Amino acid sequence: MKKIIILALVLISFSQAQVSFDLGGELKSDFGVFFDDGLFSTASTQLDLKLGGEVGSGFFPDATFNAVVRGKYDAITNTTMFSVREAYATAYLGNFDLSVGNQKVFWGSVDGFNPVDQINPRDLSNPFVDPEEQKTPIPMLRVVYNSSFDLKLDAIVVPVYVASTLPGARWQPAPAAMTLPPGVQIVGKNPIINNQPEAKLGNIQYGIRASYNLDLLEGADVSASYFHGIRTTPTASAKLIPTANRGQFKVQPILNYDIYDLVGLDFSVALPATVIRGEFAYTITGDPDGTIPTIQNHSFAAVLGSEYTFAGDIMTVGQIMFNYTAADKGKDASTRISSLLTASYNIDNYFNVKAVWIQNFSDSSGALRPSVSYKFADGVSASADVVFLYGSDSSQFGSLSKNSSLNLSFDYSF
Amino acid sequence: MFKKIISLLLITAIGFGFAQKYETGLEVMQAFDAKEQPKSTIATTKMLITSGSGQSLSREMQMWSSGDSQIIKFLAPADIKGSGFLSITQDDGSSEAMIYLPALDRIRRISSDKKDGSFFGSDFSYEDIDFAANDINDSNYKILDFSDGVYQIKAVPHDDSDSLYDKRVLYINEEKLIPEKIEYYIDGELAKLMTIVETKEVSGYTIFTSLKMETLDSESFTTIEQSDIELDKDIPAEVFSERFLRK
Repeated sequence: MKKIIILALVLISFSQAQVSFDLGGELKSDFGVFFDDGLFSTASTQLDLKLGGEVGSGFFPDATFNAVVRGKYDAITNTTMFSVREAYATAYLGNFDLSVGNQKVFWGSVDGFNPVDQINPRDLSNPFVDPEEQKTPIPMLRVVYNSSFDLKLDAIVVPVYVASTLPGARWQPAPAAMTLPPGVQIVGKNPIINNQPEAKLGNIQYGIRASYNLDLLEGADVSASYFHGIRTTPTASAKLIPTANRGQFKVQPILNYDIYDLVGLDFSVALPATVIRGEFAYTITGDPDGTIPTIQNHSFAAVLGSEYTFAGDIMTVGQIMFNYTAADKGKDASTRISSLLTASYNIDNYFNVKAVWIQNFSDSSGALRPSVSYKFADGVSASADVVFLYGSDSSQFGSLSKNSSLNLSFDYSF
Repeated sequence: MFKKIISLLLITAIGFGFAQKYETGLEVMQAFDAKEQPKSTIATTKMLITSGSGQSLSREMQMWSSGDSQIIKFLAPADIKGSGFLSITQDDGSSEAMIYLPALDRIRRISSDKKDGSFFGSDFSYEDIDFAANDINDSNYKILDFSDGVYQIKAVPHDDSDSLYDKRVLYINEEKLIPEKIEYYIDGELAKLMTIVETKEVSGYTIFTSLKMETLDSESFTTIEQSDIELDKDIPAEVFSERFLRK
């Protein structure tokens, strides 16, 4: 009897809590066709149902919750997929925000390429989908401390490793040719060994970021971050496995997921007519000498950019990116310099034109993506874009030039 | 003779009864500027943007403002719901601005030099929205007319002003000291017309609850309606923060 009374009291107290929620969603259809052979790159319809709400009242409720469930039908593969995207709750505890569940985190300051932002895996099945579409929510514990003196600390723990979805076969670069010793003959290939990390304590990922707002010019902020993680894309390597016949070997492909430590710095500074942003990330791996082929070498990435709105409301973003990867033993280090330029113009409240241009100066290849979008009514829009890839067959983008495509998208948010 | 004196006195008395209270445009604007403004405002704002072809887009937002700091969170339509805008004025008078993009869970610092920009795609510019907060010493004022208790005042910005407009004509009600209509001129031509459609007394203040701004060359117009208005509420400083923007 006592237990029943206690249970009733608990239920009554929950019913007294002020809970508000709303349900919405997004219906999206995407179609794409490769110019080279007329094959469809994309033909899918996707429905996201979104539930969000608050518990408690006042300026800061006791807690908020968010959930997104996705159903997607892919007509090319004739498959239907259901997944839980975001599903997390945030409790507001004084100066602390505690979030638990499937969530996306953004660390960084620049647009497009974020060397500091490596926490969430990505769906890379189509590498030219917008970055926000690529990020995959994963289970994590996140604690944000908001101090009263412009300092914010953001700590995350990712208990279970989730890999990125790799690009489809058509988007994968051609494997590098193996240098075979004399007298060695390749007679076959073994199934891939995929060393994806297990869900265990030793594979927990974690990180912390400190951000500080500066009373400088029209506002500035600087952040330092540290992340101990496991690469969401594998390092591919291969070794030769001898067969029963002398001189004959089979290739054994291996996918390894490196453990690394990332130290990052990013900032943004607002000036009267522009905003300057930068990100720098140094990645330390388990192969400082460049002798272990299954582990990537130390690397450094930097992005510096600015945003400016020209007369007539043409908003532009320009960035320079620098990537450095330490050398394998006996070889040269690799560097890459590239740029990103975007221009966006709202002709009116309904019609927007945009262009994105990425240029790799190191191999003279690039990608150009002009697009137009039209808003039919509140929440209803359509867009069309062309992805044009160019460069030599051995270059970053030129090797994918047969994937230049036309893409259409229809979107209804409710 | 006596009759003439009485007539003259009566005419003078009647004339004083209908005489305008302020002699110069600057006096009117100073009286308008001296009106006590609420220290803080919380309101739900609905905005309907109608193009010249008759198409409409809506925006519904929750706004909090205190002093020169303001935070706006979009409630509708669904494709922008959850987005937010934060503007904080520092002690030295400089302002910083940030937007929140929920799809990216990202707070993005932006340039606050948007005075000439459109207020969220509407026919209002940021300068128009903040007209009550604009420094009256930025312009010269002249009374063009006074009739039916309304001053017609020409306001011409000083040469060093960064105003969008080369002239404004304000129609200010003498008794309430609020504008009923404002004409905006660019290159000498009437470019935009703002009409205060409805006002309401809230906590002793006269609040514009319905505004309309028309852009004449495109024949587009935007209406703004405010509801659920709370004034002089004690809004904690932490509301004007990235944390609240992201919530």
